[in-house]
Amino acid sequence: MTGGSGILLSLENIYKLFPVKASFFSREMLRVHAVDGVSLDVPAGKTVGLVGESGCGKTTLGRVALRLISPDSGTIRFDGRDITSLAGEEMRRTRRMMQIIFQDPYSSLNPRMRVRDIVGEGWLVHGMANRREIREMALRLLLRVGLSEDAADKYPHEFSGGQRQRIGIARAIALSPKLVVADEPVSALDVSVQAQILNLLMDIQQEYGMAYLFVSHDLRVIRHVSDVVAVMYLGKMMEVSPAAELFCSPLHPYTRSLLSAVPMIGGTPREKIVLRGEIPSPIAPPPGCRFHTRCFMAKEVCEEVCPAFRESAPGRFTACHFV
Amino acid sequence: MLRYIGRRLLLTIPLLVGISLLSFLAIHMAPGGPISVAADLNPKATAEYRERMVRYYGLDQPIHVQYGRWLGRMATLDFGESFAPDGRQVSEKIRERIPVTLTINILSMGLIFLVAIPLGIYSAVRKDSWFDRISTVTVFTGFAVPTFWLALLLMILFGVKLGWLPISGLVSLEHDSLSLAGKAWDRARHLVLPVLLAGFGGLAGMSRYMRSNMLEVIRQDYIAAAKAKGLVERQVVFRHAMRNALLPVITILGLSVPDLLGGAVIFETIFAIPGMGQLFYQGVMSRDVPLIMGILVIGAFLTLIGNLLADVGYALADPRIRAG
Repeated sequence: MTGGSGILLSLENIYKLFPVKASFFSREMLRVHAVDGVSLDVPAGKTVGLVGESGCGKTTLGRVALRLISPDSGTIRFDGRDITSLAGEEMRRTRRMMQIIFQDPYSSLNPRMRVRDIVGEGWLVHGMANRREIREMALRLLLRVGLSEDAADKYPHEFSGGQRQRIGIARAIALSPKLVVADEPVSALDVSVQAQILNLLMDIQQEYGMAYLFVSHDLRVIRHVSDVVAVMYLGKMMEVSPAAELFCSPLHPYTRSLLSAVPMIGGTPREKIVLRGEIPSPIAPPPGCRFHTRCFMAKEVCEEVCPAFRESAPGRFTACHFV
Repeated sequence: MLRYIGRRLLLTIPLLVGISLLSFLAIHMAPGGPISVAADLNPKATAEYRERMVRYYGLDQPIHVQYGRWLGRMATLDFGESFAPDGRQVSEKIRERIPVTLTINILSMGLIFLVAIPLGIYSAVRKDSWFDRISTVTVFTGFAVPTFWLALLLMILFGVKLGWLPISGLVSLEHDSLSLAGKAWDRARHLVLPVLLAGFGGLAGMSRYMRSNMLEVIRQDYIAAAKAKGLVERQVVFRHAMRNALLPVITILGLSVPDLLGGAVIFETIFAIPGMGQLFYQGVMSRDVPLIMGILVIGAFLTLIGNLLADVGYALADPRIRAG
């Protein structure tokens, strides 16, 4: 499903449960099924859009990919190497190759550090520059992401949300990573600023050739940036397809209902699929197919048997009994 | 910044006047009068003697006149004479006792910082570990135990049963005959229990405070970003997390001044330490109005200065306030 280029990041059968206490007095531990047996490949230099409702586990999956969270089971392969249980010095060296951009530009920058130190700390840590060179290098990078030169000596609070996000981007690309996990990078911004930041992200990808794992709940954003789209629901992968095909002929009933909810101006009116009910609790996910409680195509088998995630059309993967 | 400090210092004047007015009223509402020890409890005191005393101290005047006179003297930093039989200057009495109280408080503050901050940081970084649980239980137990009771228990244990530490005063009886090193050692031994107890409550509170600050900071995205940059855990904790978590502690420092002075009253009385706390206790017991007022004003002044220093320190440490 990569269209020729090699696989940079490969997540295989990742599980991650978070324990939560049922109540203050009970000793029983419940588990939130954040990521429940998910596999996903990110090709080098491409953008994989990861989409889903809030709470479906997409952010968790993004952090697992960077080993900021350790998975309960499953394998993370980066650049052909199993990094699932790398530790210490080796893991630190690998971190250089993978960086992250956060959703909230206010909590993502250390309020007590100058911008040049925020951007340049990675170089210091990896011995790529000394203190004197850092200022110079940081200046160049800040200009590249569309900030002025005097930004280097300021503190984060002196910037707007969009500017802060540019600082976050500069920090992420400072180490010339091969993979950047962009965790809802524009969701907290005004629409006009969103477009600028998206364009900056795409320009930089052209220039540096890194791959993006682009997490978002906004289908318009995903459509704009992605080569491949992965759709998650309640901790499970529902569909992975090339972006163009997914948006023009979604296969999985969940994907179809999602797309029908995107408002559009012009074009032919589409079928409108309105989902019943609420998203079930991830603490007690429904048996069988996770989506069957709300699916318009659900039959008896869906309540009992969890559908396998398989190639249902050339280059397209789905988890549904009827696709 | 200097203008700000100047303005804050000017603002302390009306505050001090307000505080002193309330204190003055509170003392006069309390039962018993300043001369009750000398006159009422003395069977030989005649009505004439009592009247002379009352007039001598100006107690026959209406209360607002008494307060006005006191305030007028205060304006020239004259704290007046103590009502106690020795009749000494209040300022002199306070001056000779304040170093003892300050020494113990500064030492206990140092103890709080040395112990509470590492404890809080480690509990937060290893949240829900055995270390965290045990320290949580210990700290809350310590918090719930009344200091004076704990003081008595420790005196029994270390002073009476084990005989390791002296239980009262600042120096031993034979202090003057000791060598220089012996004198220092003697003083240090006398300070152990008071300093420990003075710091005890603060220790519990501060370590919890530090722990919750750290937990709050650790879940911020910039901590994850620091980890993603490839910093080792020690660097993440100390360079990024701790520096941000320490900021609010500065404020707590300023606010803890009145607690320390209030605590001094209790532990100086228990350990028979001749400090300001003990002086205050004696003053209250004998309704020595000028002495009580003097100590209260100095305490209030120290508190206000503490708050001001905390605000200035915060501004210096936090770039967000520095610029604004």
